[in-house]
Amino acid sequence: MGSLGRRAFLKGAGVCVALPWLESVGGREARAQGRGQKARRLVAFFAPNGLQPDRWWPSTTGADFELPSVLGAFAEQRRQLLLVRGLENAAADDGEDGDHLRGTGTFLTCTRLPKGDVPLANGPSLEQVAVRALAPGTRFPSLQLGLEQKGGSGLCDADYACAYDRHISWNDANTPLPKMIDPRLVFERLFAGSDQRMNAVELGRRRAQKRSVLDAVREQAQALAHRTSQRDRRKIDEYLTGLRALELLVESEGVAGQCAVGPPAANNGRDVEKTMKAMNELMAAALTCDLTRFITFMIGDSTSTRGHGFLGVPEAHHELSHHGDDPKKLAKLDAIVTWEVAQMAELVTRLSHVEEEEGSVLDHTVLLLSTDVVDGDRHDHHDLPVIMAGGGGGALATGQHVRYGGKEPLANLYLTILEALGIPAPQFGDDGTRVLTELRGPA
Amino acid sequence: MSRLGPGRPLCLGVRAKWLLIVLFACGEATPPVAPGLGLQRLNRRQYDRSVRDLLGVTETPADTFPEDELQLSFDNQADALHLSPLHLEMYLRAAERLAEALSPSPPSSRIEGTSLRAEVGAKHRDEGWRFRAGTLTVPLPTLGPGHYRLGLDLRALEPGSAPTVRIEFGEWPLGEVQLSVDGPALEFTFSQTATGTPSLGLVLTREGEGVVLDWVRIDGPLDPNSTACADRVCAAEKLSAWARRAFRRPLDPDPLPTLLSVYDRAYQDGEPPERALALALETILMSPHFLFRVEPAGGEGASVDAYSLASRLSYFFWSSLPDDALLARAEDGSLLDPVTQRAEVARLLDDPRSAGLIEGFGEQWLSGEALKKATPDPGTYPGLDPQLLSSAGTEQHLFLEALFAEDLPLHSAVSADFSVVDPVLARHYGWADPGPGWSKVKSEGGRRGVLGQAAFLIATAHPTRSSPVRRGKWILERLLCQSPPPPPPNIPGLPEGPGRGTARDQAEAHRSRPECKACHAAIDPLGLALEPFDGVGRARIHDDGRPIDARGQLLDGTPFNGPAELASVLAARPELSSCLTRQLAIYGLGRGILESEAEALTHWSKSPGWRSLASAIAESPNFRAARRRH
Repeated sequence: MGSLGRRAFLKGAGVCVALPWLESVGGREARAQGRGQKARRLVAFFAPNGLQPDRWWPSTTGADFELPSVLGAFAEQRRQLLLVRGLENAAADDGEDGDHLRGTGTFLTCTRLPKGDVPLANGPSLEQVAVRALAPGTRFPSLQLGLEQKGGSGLCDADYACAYDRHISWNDANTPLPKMIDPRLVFERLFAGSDQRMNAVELGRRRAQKRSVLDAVREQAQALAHRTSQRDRRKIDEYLTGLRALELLVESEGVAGQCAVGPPAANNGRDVEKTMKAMNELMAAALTCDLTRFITFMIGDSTSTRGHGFLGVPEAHHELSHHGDDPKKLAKLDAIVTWEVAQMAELVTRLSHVEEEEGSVLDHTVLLLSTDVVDGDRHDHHDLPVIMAGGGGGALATGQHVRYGGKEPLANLYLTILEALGIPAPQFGDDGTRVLTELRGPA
Repeated sequence: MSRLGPGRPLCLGVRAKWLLIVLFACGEATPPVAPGLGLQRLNRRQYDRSVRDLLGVTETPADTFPEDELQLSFDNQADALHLSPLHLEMYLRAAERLAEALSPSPPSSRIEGTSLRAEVGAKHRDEGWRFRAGTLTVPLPTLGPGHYRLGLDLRALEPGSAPTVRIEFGEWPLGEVQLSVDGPALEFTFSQTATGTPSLGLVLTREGEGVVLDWVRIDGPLDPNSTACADRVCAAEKLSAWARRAFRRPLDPDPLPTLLSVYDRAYQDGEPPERALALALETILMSPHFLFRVEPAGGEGASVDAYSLASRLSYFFWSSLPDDALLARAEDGSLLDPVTQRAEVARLLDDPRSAGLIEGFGEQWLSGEALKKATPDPGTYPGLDPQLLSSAGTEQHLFLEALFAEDLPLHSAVSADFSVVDPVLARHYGWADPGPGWSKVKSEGGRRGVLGQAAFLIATAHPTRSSPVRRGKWILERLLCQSPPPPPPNIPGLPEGPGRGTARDQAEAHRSRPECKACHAAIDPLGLALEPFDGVGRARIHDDGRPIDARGQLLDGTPFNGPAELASVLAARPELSSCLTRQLAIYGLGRGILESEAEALTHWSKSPGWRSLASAIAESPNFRAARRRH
């Protein structure tokens, strides 16, 4: 109970100290020292089925790397790019079968997963570590978004729980954070939640009423927790955690909407291109309106079999990714990767157009894109490619290609990102122990 | 594998690489785990059906909830039903909408006491809304003709005093009230015959005793025929009835005081009574007692209490909460009597709400979810009827419904020579037009049972082609409960597009590799037998320009040629009925089957038909077993 109380206090404190960033201690310090700005936001894209980087990854390192056509969408934003190669996610490599699933489940956690019919154990994921450390006090602590929710048999790869297959965000070891895949629903959640005509008195009354509802059910849950088994207690704890997030949401009601975007066009959910475009608009709006500072985005679930008909590649993605070095298939995979990269680039461009104090929103946002297996045909987890952008305000040394030996823990990149966010962390996941100083910016 | 899922792996002779997996699967039974497991959260289907049956609404709010995690291929397994903050957020939104729909607030306007000036002439002593003498005049908004409700929060200023105030509406006295410091808000009704802008007069009858006015509220015009619940007595009755059904048992302590405190708080805060009731209803819908199926844990070998049993039955057969009749059987304890329970099982299965079983079990077992997400490539399949996917889903549902309704033998799931189709499907299958609507017709062209239905054939296909591997794997997993290990890494997929060869050519290429052969020898022939149906379930005789060869054999050498023969061969396998039994039992029990339940499984699988099987599971001691404490 003691730790719950403390967490609740921290979360509550987050609301009270939700000042504009520059007024916070870190911001003042940085300004006083005339150094660059720390990043304050993070967006992580997950691309399924590998990126086949051997085909296109630049051979030269440093600032003068050659921009391959796969990264063509970044031509204008080239100086915002930070290409990192030669990392390894050892947790994903743990075993013979189930590479896709492990590569997905451990993408942002770098934590070994248990196999079989046992309780879930993973995470927390990178952005949740940051949320916890920074308690940003935004209306939504983080957003989990994506383009598909894998259906199918439910018998997942190599006897692992299916939850690892379709979640990259983990609140804690056993609570995966589900993603939203319908842009209209995301829009409603972000912007259509409260009545703009309400005045402060009405809002205050509404909040008090909601609090009385939440107080009543919290009491019921606490009473229940006292007389249930250990196993049930975990569920009740999940419920109480969710209630605390809801309380924050109720408290911040009415603050959204001042910079709302229009609702996304109707879409039957099968038009991937339109859905992605709408999601990018929503992500940009959520970040620039400071509704959230942390987003994870799954372009597809693990072993996605979605076709890309709009690229002239209607074949099932996963099956295609087992390319067997067939040049026709490789060309099609290149088209998919090019499109995926372009989606990240579009968000980068959008964020670069919005100015805030001391630079653009992009300058204070770290974006990354990577995958579950390096190459869909080989299922490997070392020499992993990571495409990063943003954070050029001083947090990261952008505009270069840095290559590591192939065995550098991916978790070390995550420690570097945490540092860029102003979070000193001694370790991350199973094997993160040091910051990659080559990537450090002046801040 | 502490529990046996539907996937008991094949014990094949395989390369050393897989030895571990196979030994693991074929080895000795591990000790069983406790039946029951954690609290069961309502899944999406159960939420929708529960609020529908509780409140009589037609909305399906769970469409916006995160998808439920599957375990053992089903979405109702206690341990996999996690609760994330997003869930609660969506529950609150759903609760708000449902409550507003159930108890809609009338048009209402409100005047804050702080905005008023007392017109009390020279005697006014206090600021604004507090006054000790004279008349406070409250200007009201323009009101059209109709019925209105006036609410006001008027109290004594000092404890112990009991000022009396005459309330005047225009020239008409509404009444005279004696106030205290903590009395309830006052409420009057009145009718307005013509549009006007009346004012409210509050006249202190005795000088010196102060009163305070917090707010005035005008609700209306009200529907004079409205049956809305607009007072506290009615609200208490409604909330009691909702709580009893929503929580599916009487709670200790009684939840009513808590619900009424939410009501009172909102009402005292100046909300119309309808809105206060809506907030209390939100509290019910957000309660852990509604969102979770709370069951008291029992000792070793204990049976559940009657209320838990009632919920287990209703969620098995209806995917919803118990109705009043079932709750009454729980209340008087008669449900624990086997004869009464049997009668209730029959009643629940006869009820139209048993569509919840067909939908819940059918969608999971037959991959209905995968059908909903299927994206046949329009380039490969030009001219598909846009209705096809939804018709295919309906066919599957109606077919399954017939299996249960007519208590048809378990094997008829694969061997039935009928289906239920509409003109869209009949055209798709190349059958005679059965006329408008849905008709049960005799199958033609070798289509038998679920394997000949578009729903299955599409759900297991790739966007651009049929997949004999997926079809074969599905048959092994879902009909025979054998689950081949996943393919080893570094295996290239099959060639795509024209010139790729027939599926059989591809399968043969596959099976020429030793690391693939062991499993694909079991998988591929099953799928290849269905090649006369393409990736969207249409009949065909050629693939990639070559005639289709749909011959194959089981691992034991039993031969078959084409879909109909495959169906007959499968129907004759003893594993089929035990596998189908296992699937329905996992769904019904909401958990995996324990090793110690093998005997029960065998017993159930001898049921003469689907309905008998469902009844046998529900009437068994396994179904009644209480959850253990740890």
